[in-house]
Amino acid sequence: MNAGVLATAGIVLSACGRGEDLPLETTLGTSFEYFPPHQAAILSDVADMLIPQTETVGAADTETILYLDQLMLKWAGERTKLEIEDFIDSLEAEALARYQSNYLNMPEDKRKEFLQEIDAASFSENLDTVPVKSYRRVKWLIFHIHYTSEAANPDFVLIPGQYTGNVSEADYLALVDENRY
Amino acid sequence: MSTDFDAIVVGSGISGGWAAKELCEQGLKTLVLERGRHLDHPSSEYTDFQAPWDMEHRGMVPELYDEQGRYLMLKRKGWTYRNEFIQFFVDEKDHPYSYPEDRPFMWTRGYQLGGRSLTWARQSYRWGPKDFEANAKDGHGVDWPIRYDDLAPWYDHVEAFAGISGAQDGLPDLPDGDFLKPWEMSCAEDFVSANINQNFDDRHMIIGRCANLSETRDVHTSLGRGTCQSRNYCMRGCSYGAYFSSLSATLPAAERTGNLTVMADAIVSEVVFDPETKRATHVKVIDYHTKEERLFSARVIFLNASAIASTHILLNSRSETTPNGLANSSGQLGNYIMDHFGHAGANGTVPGFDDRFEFGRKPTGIYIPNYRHDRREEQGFHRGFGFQGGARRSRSTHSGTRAGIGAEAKSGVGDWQTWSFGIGMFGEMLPYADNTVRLHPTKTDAWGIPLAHLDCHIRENERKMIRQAEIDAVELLTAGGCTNIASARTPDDEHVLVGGKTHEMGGACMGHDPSTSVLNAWNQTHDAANLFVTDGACMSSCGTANPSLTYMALTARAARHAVELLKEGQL
Repeated sequence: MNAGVLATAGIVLSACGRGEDLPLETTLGTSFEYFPPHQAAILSDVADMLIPQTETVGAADTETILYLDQLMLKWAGERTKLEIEDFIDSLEAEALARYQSNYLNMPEDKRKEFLQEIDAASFSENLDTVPVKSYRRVKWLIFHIHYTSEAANPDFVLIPGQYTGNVSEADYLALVDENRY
Repeated sequence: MSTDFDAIVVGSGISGGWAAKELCEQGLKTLVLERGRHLDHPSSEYTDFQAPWDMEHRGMVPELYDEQGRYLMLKRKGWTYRNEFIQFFVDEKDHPYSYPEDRPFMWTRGYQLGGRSLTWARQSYRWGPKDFEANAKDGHGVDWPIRYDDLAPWYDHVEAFAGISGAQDGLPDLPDGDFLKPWEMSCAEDFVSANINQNFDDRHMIIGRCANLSETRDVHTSLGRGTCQSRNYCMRGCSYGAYFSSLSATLPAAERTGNLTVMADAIVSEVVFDPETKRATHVKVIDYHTKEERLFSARVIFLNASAIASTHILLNSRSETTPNGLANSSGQLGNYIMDHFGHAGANGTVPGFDDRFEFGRKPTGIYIPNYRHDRREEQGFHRGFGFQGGARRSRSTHSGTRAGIGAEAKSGVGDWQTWSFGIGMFGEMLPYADNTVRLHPTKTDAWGIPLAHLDCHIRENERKMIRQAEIDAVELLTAGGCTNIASARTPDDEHVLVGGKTHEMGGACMGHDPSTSVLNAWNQTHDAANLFVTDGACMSSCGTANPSLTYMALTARAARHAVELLKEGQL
């Protein structure tokens, strides 16, 4: 397993030397409970490729795949579980077919290029050419989890306390600051 | 626990809460029976202090429910299928009802103390004089035995207690009332409203009147109710008690009299009738958990279980003298089931306000009341429709449902979109005698009660309205100054799900004549004077405005009448 990928994805090995046999931990020290380390690493990398840190937070910052891990335990039905399995399996198979490499062993620029191609094909009109199963479903889950996180919603106000329907942007931002908890 | 009371109220939702309050305040020892579980207020089941990221599963309903075939009808409803308030809705797998396979009916229920008053949309409008005259004018349904003037003082009464925000709009077909200060329109709504009002004589766009406390009066604070915090999370329950519900308002008011007894997990299966005295004497209750049956007696009985459920109880109250159900000497019990219908609308953008923003989430939108009364000859259909909707400005987001990854996909996320504005119709379904609820001939629920079988569909009159409403919606948005207008309607050959608006009405209609109606002008059954039905079942037509305020007024009026009759020794 590529330790650099794991670090990029906000994951650290919990112990040295026995990599894949041990549970992975996030930077917050929380272990994945549903996904085995290899799956967690792939999903974390994909999430970070889809939503990288830019001037705003990325999927690694919002621990999107760790949250997905919890959803798999408490929310997901059999269909979603199978879809994610299918996604990982077919991603690996496609990487092997195209690049003769496991996904995680590919260089970062190649992984990005690979995902861009998969993304374009998955949203093309000709769905017969979709190379990786359930990509759209996994993408939807990653985006949903990320964009419903606290870090991705910096001006959310739980208790506005008032409504006003015609303010300038400066006044709006001041009201957010005043009322944010 | 005593089994004998002055009054029994079946159901604790909007109208049941009002019956309990009025009867208790008039000194009657009153038992409220709720088939669902007990809830406190505020309740640990409320989720109103949860930010989106604090909500279990981020608000997504567990997929296991799908696999088990649970909440299928609620899922079909769409926007109410959310994990943070699913606990306030009934799973039809546990509590089934039936309908013809090709004509499904959406019966949305809430089995807990407070019923659907926890999850109602809080839109609160008086019906106007024309609404009560419509049946008499065009001959559909049963003529209402009351008119607006009979109900006007009771609208005053319930508005003052419930707390309805609204403007004094001066519209003859939508009477003003005793309102709290109105919610403010957004700048985009103000713009559209001014343009509509300028371009049409008969069409008006007003701020929605709603049962959220825009300010408080002593009558509210004395019950611990606080001002609305503009969260718009009402369906999660409101710990401030800022929107009107049985839990926040009427039941606490009833309780402080010392006359209230509440019994939850109590399923009323039937009302027992004494043919000699022609009085309802008892209600039969089945314990939700133990299935033990008990009888409770009272001098007056109010059915407030909801339009379908109250009618269902009466249909199931069969005896030698009432083989087709109690209060059914007319043969009309279970007929004239109605609901509002949507299925047409439009949306567009509102230009010119890109530098203006809104803060807070107001708990109401805009309202365009019915402007098509009495125009049958010109428009080709009876009755009419109104519109509800509103403007919003939100930040762009990315749901992962379009192409793009990486920084490119993120670019633009969080940018402000321009103002958008949308409206959807609320049409008046004519009262059709053969839109019915009946007892299923063979299927029963877990308590041995025959299922309610609902067979309802819209007709050509409603289809014409849907077609016209799409045209009108575009006209309204165009006149309102919107651009990029898109409209939609349900095709003529597609089934329109009755019950979709959760405004089911009828089944035990009020009327003058005992041979054609179930209830008299005071909501007493013609066949048993001490049996009252004051929920949606009593409605003889469905109008176009949300009906809950009218249920409240009818209930308060009937309860006071019941007390007067008791005092006079007539009951």
